[in-house]
Amino acid sequence: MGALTDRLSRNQQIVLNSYRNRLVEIATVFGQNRAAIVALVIVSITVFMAIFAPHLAPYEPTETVYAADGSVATLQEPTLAYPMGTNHFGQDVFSQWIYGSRVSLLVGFLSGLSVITIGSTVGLISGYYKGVLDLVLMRVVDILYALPATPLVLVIAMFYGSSVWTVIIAMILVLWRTMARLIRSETLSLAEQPFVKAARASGASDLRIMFVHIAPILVPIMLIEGTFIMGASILLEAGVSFLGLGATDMMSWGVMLQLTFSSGAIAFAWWWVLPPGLSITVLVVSFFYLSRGIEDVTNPQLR
Amino acid sequence: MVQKSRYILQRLALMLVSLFAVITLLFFLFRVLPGDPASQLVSPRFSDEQRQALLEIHGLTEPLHVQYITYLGNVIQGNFGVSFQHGSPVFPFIVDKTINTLSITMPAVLLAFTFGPFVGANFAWHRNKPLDTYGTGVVLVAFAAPIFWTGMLGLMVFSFYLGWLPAGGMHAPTYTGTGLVDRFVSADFLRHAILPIVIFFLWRLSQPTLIIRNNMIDLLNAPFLKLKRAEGLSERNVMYRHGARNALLPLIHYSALAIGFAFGGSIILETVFSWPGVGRAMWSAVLASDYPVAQGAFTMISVVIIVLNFVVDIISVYIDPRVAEEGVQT
Repeated sequence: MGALTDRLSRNQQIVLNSYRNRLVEIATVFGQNRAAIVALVIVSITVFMAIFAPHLAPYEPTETVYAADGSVATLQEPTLAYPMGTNHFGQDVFSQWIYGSRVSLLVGFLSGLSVITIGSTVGLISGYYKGVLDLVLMRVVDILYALPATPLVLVIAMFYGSSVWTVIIAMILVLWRTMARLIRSETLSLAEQPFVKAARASGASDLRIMFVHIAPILVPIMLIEGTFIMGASILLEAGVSFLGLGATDMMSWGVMLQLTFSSGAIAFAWWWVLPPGLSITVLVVSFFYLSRGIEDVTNPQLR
Repeated sequence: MVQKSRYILQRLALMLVSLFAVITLLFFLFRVLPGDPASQLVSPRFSDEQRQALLEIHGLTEPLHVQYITYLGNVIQGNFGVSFQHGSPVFPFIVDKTINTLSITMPAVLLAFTFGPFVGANFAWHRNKPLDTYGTGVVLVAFAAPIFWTGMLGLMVFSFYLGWLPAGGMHAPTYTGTGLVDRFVSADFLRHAILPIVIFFLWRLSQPTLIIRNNMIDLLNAPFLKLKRAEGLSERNVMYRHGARNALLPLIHYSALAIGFAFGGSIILETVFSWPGVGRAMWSAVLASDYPVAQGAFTMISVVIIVLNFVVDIISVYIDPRVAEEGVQT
């Protein structure tokens, strides 16, 4: 009895060690990619900003601020009191900028996760079952490629009213197409592998083969494309909000730029134009570099 | 040869199926969604007779399936109805606007696909050296920066601060030309077009650049390049004449996708620069709930994308006959 538990714990030790070694290896490879580390730091800071926005922002995003003489402080250049100046309504740009991070991250994470779920499921089913089902699903994907995302989101927002949620749902409806194609082509070749035949011979159901045997191998691809989609959808939300049909119910970086543009303040108000645009750019680039970092870790050929 | 014709026929059939599906999808998207066109069109102030008359003009009194069949027939004849806003036929209006859109997006995409491969080849040749590391970074930043923001910065600097360029539009307010030639061939047009073209070009540069870079890196150790080096050709020669040329092939497929992105992005670009194109027409139609124009513009954009994809498929099978073998099987 004692010998058996001994052996068990030794086995657990070995498994644990191999996991630990694997984690250390991943961390090392990821750590060598300096851009990916910087990207991770930037995304973490943005997440922190979004979570603690009410504590970090000195004012409410739509609160009117007043100058010392009691007049509304409109279009002020940056000062200590207003680190990013004020806009033409007399609102604090710094507070709006902090709250704006919430929309971008919400949009990025929600559409990234949904695209991973929907795109991978369609890709797995299409590549595993082949035949007519595959043909139909892939024609649907082809058709989605003919629908540019920005106009589609616009039209859906026109009918359902513009809000963050409309934008997110409309984006998910089109953006899963690339994921489905990628996962399908990988599944097509994986389904021919001996381990799939072995699993089938030992009585595993189709669902089990798809989601327990094939899907885990494709996790890296899902993460690489999913992280890319996060960046892309942040850009898309900003664009639609800029057109006045996006996150009108929340203060987003795109909405800030729309206000700058429509008020004509772009002629001079650099303090109001630069922060939101720069933040969108930096956050999106960070997601792209994260995606490449994951690729480095999971694809040894690239090293 | 047989394989090539089979491939072309197959692509043609696919194109027709896609066209039909997209046109159908857009019809139902615009009819079935809430906020039906009748309520958008008719103000509650109107009397019942006026309301009825308006609905009949726009063909909205028929049952849905009758509307659908009429609509299919109309689309084939290029009839997208009349605009709710200005009462003129949608199709000629949209075609005119699409030409304006192409006048800035095509030069930008062509520039990107001319310079991109050159830049990408250089990145690949200097792989993991500063030129590649920072160059790739710059290209990625140009892609990640929202075009409405870079457009705003461009306007801020070149038109408001320096005063060199106009702040938007396609022509000076005094413009009275009517023909297509004087619309696009003038110094005035160029002055208005240069900033949107440059902004669009920078945004679209990343795709061809990075695709060529990655393809070239895969090719760098290919035996045929080693042979060329062994033959004593200069690195420059090996790189451009033999390496880049082979890396170019996959780019043809991406050019069709790029055109799709160009139309999607044109809505935003044209709004920033008050450019009278199809994207901006669609945007103002959406804001005004002018659904025939919004639907017509959307259909137009999708049809152009599908047809161009077909054209690209045909071009690529003539350049690289291997495409036909892969294509016919699926």
